Amino acid sequence: MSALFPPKDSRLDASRTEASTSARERALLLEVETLRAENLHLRRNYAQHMGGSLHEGASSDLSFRAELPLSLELALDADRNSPVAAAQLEYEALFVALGSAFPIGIFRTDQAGLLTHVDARLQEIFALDKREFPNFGWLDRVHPDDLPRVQDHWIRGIATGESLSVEFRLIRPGNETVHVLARNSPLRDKDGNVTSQLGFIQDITPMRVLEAEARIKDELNRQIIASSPDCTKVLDLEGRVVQMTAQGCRLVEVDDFEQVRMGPWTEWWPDDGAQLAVGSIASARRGEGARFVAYGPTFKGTPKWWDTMVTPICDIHGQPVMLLAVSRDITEQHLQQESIQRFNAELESAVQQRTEELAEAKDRIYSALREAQVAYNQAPCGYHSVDARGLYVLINQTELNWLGYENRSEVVGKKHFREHVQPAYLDEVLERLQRLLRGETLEAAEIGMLRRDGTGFIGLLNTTAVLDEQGRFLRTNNTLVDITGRKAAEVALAAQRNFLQTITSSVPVQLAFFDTRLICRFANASYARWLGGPPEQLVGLHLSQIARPQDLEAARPRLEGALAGVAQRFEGERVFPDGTVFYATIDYTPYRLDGEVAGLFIQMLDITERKLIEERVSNLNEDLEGRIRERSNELLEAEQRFRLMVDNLRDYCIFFMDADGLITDWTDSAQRMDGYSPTQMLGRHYGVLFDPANPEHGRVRADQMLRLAASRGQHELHNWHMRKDGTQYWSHSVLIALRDDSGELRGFAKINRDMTDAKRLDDLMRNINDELENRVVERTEQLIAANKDLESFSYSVSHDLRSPLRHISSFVSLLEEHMGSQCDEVSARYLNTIGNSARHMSQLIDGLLAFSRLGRAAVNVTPVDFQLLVEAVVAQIGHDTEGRVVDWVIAPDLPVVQGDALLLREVWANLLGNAYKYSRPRERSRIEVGWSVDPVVGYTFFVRDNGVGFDTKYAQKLFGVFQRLHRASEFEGTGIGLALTRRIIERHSGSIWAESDLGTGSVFYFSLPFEGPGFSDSSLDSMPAPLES
Amino acid sequence: MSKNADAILLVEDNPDDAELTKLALSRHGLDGRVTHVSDGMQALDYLHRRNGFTNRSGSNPVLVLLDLKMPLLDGIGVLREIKGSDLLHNIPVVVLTSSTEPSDLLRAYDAGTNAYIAKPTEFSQFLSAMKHVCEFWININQTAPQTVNATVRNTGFGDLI
Repeated sequence: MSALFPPKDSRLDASRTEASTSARERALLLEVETLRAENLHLRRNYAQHMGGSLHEGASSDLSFRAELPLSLELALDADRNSPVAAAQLEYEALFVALGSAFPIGIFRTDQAGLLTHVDARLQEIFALDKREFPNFGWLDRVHPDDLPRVQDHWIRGIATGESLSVEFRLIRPGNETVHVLARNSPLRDKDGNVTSQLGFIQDITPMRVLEAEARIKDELNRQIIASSPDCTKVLDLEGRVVQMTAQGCRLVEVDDFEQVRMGPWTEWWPDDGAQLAVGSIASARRGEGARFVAYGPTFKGTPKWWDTMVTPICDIHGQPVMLLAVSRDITEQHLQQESIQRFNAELESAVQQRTEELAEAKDRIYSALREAQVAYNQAPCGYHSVDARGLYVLINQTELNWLGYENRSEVVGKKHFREHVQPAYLDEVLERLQRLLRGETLEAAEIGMLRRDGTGFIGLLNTTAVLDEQGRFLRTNNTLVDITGRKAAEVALAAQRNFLQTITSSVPVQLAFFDTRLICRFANASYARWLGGPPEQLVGLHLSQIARPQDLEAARPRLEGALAGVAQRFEGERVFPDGTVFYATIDYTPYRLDGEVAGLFIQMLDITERKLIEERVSNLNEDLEGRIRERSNELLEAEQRFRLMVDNLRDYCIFFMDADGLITDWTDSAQRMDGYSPTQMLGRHYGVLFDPANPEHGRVRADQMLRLAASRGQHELHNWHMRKDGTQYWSHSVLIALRDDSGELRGFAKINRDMTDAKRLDDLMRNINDELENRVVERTEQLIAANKDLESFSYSVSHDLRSPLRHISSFVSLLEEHMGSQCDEVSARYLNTIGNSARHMSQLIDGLLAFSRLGRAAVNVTPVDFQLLVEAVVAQIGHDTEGRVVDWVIAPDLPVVQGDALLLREVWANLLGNAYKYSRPRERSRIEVGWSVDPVVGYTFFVRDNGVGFDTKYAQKLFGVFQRLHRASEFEGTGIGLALTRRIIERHSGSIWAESDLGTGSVFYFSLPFEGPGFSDSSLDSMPAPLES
Repeated sequence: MSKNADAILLVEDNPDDAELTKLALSRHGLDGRVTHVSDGMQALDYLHRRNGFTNRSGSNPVLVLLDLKMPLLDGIGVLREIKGSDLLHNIPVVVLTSSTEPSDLLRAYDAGTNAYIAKPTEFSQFLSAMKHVCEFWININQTAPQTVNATVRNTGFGDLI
């Protein structure tokens, strides 16, 4: 389309197509001429119509002057020449004329589509300035939406040479939109080639605006009609359905409008409706709308009522051309209306009926009134009315009779009510009257009445006030019931009830009696808590007014059961009106009267406390159960461990019994050891193991052992045990009583240990021991015998050895005596030597005897004060010091020891004597006595001297009998002293030893235990020490 | 008193001891008053005038010097017989023995001896011991028999052992 927009730099070469266009131009001009003529005609007509003449005379002149056609190019060329100019003018004039005759803009383009000409009209349409021409970008003005289409069109037109028209919008400056219709016609030369294009553009804006408005209006109508709830139809004048709205289709239940299209509408209606439809159509054709309401079922038979309006659709002349039928579905309203009518009719008949009934009722009332009058008079209670003064104004026959009158006239207007009230009740009656006057309502009261004859009775008086319309007091209406009898019964009953109440009130149980209708007839104080008042308030109430609905509902089957004669007992939760919850044991006990259930007793025992305890117990139980589960698990584990252990015992076996000795668990270890399988043993008495051949016998033994085990906790048994296969094993078994924490005997466990090998070893050992013991006894006997021998030896020594010595000694003395002076020196020396030897031997024998005796003598233990003892011994030694100088250094604190005083004296005498003796060579003897304490050994004493000492080589020999380390010629002595000393110390469980430096002195030590001599084996003790040591 | 009335019966199996004893007694003035038997059986026969002594002269001795260790019947047996006899139990008995064994001493006193003398081996000591016997003899010949025990004690015979 760029061709339409000649580049700004290109210039139209006007001459290029000039020759080729003339023919077509001519044709066009002819056409234009024709048009102009027509235009002229029109203008004339117009002028005529306007009543004037055209004012542009010049133009008209021009229009008829030219010989046509003229080429535009010629016209252009003739610009410089008048004829041409004239032609141009003519041409222009022609266009002007055309433009004025028709609101059409004209333009021309060359072959390439470049504009060569536009007329004023076109400029106007485009609101162009002529100066813009020819580089006028009219496409700029095309509405953007229409642009592609216009371009397409234009290109096609140029390219094909077709005559095409296109409608589009222009945007004028100022944003004014103009609708235009553009048309182009190709101009061809004589060869039929397109030389240029001639185009027309017509402003069709007004038309489009109208169209648009019409479209909107149509749409509006369509929408209105479519949205109408009615069935809207368009009929032709013959009453055929031309069109119907979708809503209409739905209402008459037509699926497809085509089914009824052009069908006569009137036939849609049944008889009555059809007539009305025909009538209304006729009316509408006359131009008058018509309306009717009729019944007409839909095409599917749904019964419907329609309110239909038929109106004519007129043309512009007001002639009906079509009919519009609008039917509204009024079925519902119609039905309502019908029902209202029906209701009205029913109402009317009901009113009629009521009226009749009223009449009947009136009759009945009258008769009732009559009856009432009779009843009033003959009633079992008294009726009377009393006026403000207290005078009877009405009284019925009954009361009249009660008071002792026969005729009403005796009373009415003559007697005061108070005349018939016992004096004691007068105040109350007056007070009641005053209260009544104040407008209060009175309760019934028991009044003592007086008869005419002065006798009295108790009457229950009920009084109401009768007021007039202004509320003024007129009179009282009273009923009076003789309750004398009832009163007495009531008093008795009240007493009885009071009695019952008293009894039951003290009962913690909630107690109530209900009759078969579940009306409370009696309740005790506890039960009255249900209402919070006194028990009497409950009487007369239905159970449902007392119990909670849910409780009552839940209890209903039980209530029915009780009323059917079956006592019920259950526990339940109940809630008092004050919200207190309690648990109760509830009893429904049927009460029978003459064999029929006349009611039931409800009895509720509050067990809340118990329930709470139960709950607590239950909680505890749960807790306990949890713990038991826990313990059970632990136990299970322990059990598994235990089982593992028990089953894997080797030299042992274990099995379990119940308290009666029946085997409850025969473990693998037991099976292994005894050979029986669990199936053989479980449940059997374990006595069979004792004596499989004679179970009863075994059982007696077994039971005895069970008793022993049960009483002592366990019982041990060593015996030969027989296996299943008959072999035996030596069993050390323990029967253990198993008790639970409470000490209850739960059963027994028996553990057997196969000790056969040990038994054999034991037997062997026993044999050896027996043998050994025999040997010991033998030896002991031998020893005792030897001891006896020794004793007799000692005896012999002391007795028989001394006699010869005595004889020697004595006869030597006698010989000396006998020889007297005859005895020479040599003889005397010989005799002296014999005597000395005998004496020495006598000393040896005496020492030996003493030593021997010491081994056999008893040690007499007493406290011995060593300080005193040592001083005494020293004193005795020092008694004859033979002129020696001796330094005695005695420790001043020697202790008191346990021992035999005589023997210990011997010890000190020996040791100190030795020290004295062996220190004799010293110019100055020093003899020291001291002591020390050792926690293990006891006391240790020492005697130190500065004597000759001894060679420690021979220290062992010091304490032997007859052992001497010094020559007898140097130091006298028997060689018994230290042996004797050691013997004494040993008899005191002490010990003795010595240290020495030969030539410088010695120290003798001895120790004694704190506790004194031990109690050593007397048989050994009494044995004499071996003579050699 | 008859001549034999103040006699001493010496029961001693050892002839040396018997000689020494008689010698010692004679040194203290009791020469010729001692009758010697060599064993226990002879001593009882003498006292009961049996067997070889049925015709012995005189009455019972006033003192019996009794050795313990003797063949056939030892001194204890003799002592028991004397002290168990109604006829003889008043005769004072002095056990004169070599034994210094305490058991012999106890046995002797248990059997009822009136004194116990362990014969010293030294002759001089033996002589002095026999001197006590003589003094004892003098005492019993001068005083009533029933006071003999007390007298013996008073004279300190117990010290001899």
